[in-house]
Amino acid sequence: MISGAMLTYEAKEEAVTTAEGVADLRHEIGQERITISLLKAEIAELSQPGRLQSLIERYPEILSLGAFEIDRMVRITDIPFPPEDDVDLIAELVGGG
Amino acid sequence: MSAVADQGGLQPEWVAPPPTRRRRDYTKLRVRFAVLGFIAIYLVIAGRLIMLGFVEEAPANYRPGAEAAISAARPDLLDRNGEILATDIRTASLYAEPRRILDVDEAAEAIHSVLPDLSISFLRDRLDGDEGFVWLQREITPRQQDAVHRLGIPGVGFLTENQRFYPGGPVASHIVGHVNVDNQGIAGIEKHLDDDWLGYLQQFGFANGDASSLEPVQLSIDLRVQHILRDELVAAVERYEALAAAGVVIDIYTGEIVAMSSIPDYDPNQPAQSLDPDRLNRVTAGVYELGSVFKALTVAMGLDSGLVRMGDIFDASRPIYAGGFTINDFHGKNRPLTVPEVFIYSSNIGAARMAMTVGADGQQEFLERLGLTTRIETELPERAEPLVPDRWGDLTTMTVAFGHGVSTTPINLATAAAALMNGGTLIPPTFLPRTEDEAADLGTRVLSPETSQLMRYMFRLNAVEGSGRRADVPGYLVGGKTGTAEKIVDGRYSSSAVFNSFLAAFPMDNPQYVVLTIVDEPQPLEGEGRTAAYNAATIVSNLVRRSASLLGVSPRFQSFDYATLESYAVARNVP
Repeated sequence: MISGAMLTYEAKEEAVTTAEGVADLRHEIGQERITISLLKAEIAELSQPGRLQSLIERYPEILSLGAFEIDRMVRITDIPFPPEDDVDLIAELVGGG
Repeated sequence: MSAVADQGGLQPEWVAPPPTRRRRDYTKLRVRFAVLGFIAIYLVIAGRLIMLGFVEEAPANYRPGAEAAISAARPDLLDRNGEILATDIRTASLYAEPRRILDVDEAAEAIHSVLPDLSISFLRDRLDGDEGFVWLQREITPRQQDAVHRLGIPGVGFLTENQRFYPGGPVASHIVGHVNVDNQGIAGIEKHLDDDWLGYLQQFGFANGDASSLEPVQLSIDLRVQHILRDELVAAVERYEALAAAGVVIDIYTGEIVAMSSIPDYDPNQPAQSLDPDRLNRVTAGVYELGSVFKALTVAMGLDSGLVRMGDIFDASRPIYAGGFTINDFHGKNRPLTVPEVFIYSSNIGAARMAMTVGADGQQEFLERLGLTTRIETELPERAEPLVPDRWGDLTTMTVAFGHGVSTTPINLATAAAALMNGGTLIPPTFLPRTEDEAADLGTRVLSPETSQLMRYMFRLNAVEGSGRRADVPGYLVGGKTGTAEKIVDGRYSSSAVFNSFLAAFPMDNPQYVVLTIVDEPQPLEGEGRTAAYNAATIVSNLVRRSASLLGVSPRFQSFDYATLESYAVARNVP
């Protein structure tokens, strides 16, 4: 009888501990979620086109970025005399379509 | 009684007589009466218990109600590429339970030492008394929260609540709108969401607390293009010392609004600014006499009615005198003009004569068909109704032909222009993503494809030879129509206060987007004029140059452009 009681007690103890652990983890997950959403909001703020533009205008010598000129833009298929059946290779070389 | 009788042998005269039949009946009655009484009492108790069972649980204190009110969660708003336009962040708010506060003066001074904005008298007033819950300060910083926590005042606590945050600040303010301090949408798409479904969810408790349980809402806006449009408009207001400027970019095959901005705007993170009437959304909530851009509609009306053909001649050699008014041309050619010439030289006389060919009824019907006289329903709650004259006589017909006499919103005009360019289908504009198939189901045919084809030709011609030259961007084949409307100052049209617009589409060999820009009272730059060609068209040019590739339009330099009218007419066998 006593051993039965002890087993029950132990099982109950374990259940309580686990339940506490679950609650802790839930809380932690909640906190992490809040942190994630804060960080996402921060990324969105830091990567705003308007912010990037003003940074580029303010530090031209460090960033040396500018608007590209339209006539420098062509499609891969417009390149004269492409190696036959090898358009994909060029795409790979310039890193994208 | 019988017990008394047994003992009382000494007093035989007191022996109770044996119970008579009548007396026994009386006892029975009393017992029954008592039973009934008890039953009645228990019934009342049981009934009351059942009633209590149905009563909603009364709140133990005031906090749960407040918690529900403040933690209303909202879904993130994303642009069409998944960039965040609006999101919820958690902030702490400070509250107190006055009836649990022991020493009001001490608590007030301690809180004042951390939050100096709250005066001691205000705090004392708030903390004194027997209420269960009062707010002290909403939305405090984490540092302030920490400091108050360290004070360890009993009866003072925090609630985390959702605060709306717009990472882009004012960049898309008129589209996303803003929320009040309880996180309820009160303008723009935010209000649309609340009215549409979010309000119900929150009311029934499904959207409280954690925003991550809500699916983000995607809009049709492209944040990059939106930024470029706003950037150009802000620059234009500064450059031309204008009162205001606005613009909109619409995908003509889906009706999706890709960008829309109206300057001056406001920062939705500080929504109080939006109360200033000057910051209204001019694209959907402002009505204007849009001037010569209406000639695009007049020409389309003439061609679509079949009463006007491309080669027809309209005599613009003399002004029209009607009803005490003189209709004259700004850049008068003083000679008969063909239909494309009326368009590219922006002849008021020619447009007026063309409208008279169609007649007042035909014109009214046409404008109605293109939705220019009715309010456009988009998701935005901010929308205005066009102003149409009560009497539509000949003079009205003539003035409306060049955009005076009817006031409409820029979004009305842009929607109609999309129909002119896309082959003749009027598609209601939207701020939510939409596919071409969905748009085709919603659209109604309002023009013949031939009319649309001819309008494309004239839009491009105007950018090659006419007033729209400044809008052209090499490689992107921009086409468009300028509009310079004189504003009414002291009851008469003024030549120094103008309202300019430019209605454009690109690329003209296969149009994808319609752009409309307006500039209110621009001042001329050194050596330039104040007409739309110098300002509204320049904005379009800059916008297209910077954003066309982002919109998936690749530049072409080699081959195509429209030929001149003669060869075009021959090639297409246009009469």
